[in-house]
Amino acid sequence: MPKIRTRLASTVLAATSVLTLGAVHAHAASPGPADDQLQVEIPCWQTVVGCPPGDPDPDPDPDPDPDPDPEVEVEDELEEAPVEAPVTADANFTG
Amino acid sequence: MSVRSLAVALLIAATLGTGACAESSPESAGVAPAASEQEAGPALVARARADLAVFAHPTDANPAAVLPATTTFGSATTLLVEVRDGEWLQVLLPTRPNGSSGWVRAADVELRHTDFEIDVDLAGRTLTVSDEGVTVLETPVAIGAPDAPTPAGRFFVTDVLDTPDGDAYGPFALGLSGHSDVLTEFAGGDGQIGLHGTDDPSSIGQAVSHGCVRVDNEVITQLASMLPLGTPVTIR
Repeated sequence: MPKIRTRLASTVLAATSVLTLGAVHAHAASPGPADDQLQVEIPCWQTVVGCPPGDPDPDPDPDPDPDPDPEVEVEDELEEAPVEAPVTADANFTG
Repeated sequence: MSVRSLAVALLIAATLGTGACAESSPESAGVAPAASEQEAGPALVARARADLAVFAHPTDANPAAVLPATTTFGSATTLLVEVRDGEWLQVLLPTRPNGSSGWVRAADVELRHTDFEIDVDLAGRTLTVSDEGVTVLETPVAIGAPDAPTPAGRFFVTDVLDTPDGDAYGPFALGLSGHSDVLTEFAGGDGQIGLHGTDDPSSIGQAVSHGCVRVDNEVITQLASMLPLGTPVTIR
């Protein structure tokens, strides 16, 4: 007998609910191993019941900047300009 | 195209509002917004890997000029970076008019940084060297006479010369990217200003030169051994 088991984890204490979708089995007598079950983590703000009161961050930035500042990283890698040996030559600056 | 032709091209570009001068910003010059302006922190210097193509604008198909890989004195052509914008660098050029700038491909140069900076106070007739913003040397200088004043602006060190005879330049002379606003020729050169020693120590502190900045011979000897090419020099 098909068995669909849905378990909604605590929505009062947990920031994230866990919805467990049971596997569909052709025979009720053989429910199958637990690892046949597909577990999907659903953030509390996406559930019907919503987040518990006082949740510190019910909707964190869904798209954090993946490339915060490559320029700075590159600059940090730059070597210091070398001090080179003077060139022997007659100067012709304005004096 | 020669360096002189480049200067003309850039002067025209500046007139059209697409070039750059000492006081212009990328925005005011009508070029692409800067991604990373070098207004704080260590200065970036760009050393040419070979003859260096310089563009009036990054979107130009053809360069405005090509700088030789070495200066007329034989130093590696090294430029001060003003703006870093992705694969392009806006660099100050050692050409007339003072403050000319152009764009080079980052791939065409070796990019380095320096924490040294020179500041010349014309009114106070002093030169200050800072390292990471901390003053490490301050010394009196001679500057240009009233009829050949030392030009103000932002420049950089183009050459460090060991002058064989010493004489009027002292033991060492640092070429700067600026030029006299009055003299277009001097001693066979094109009026390039320099920072050097002297055979007349009594001139230090006076406004007596033809535009160069003179320091004591011990000071120029010290500077020649500590400053890399491209070190920024602000004269104000």
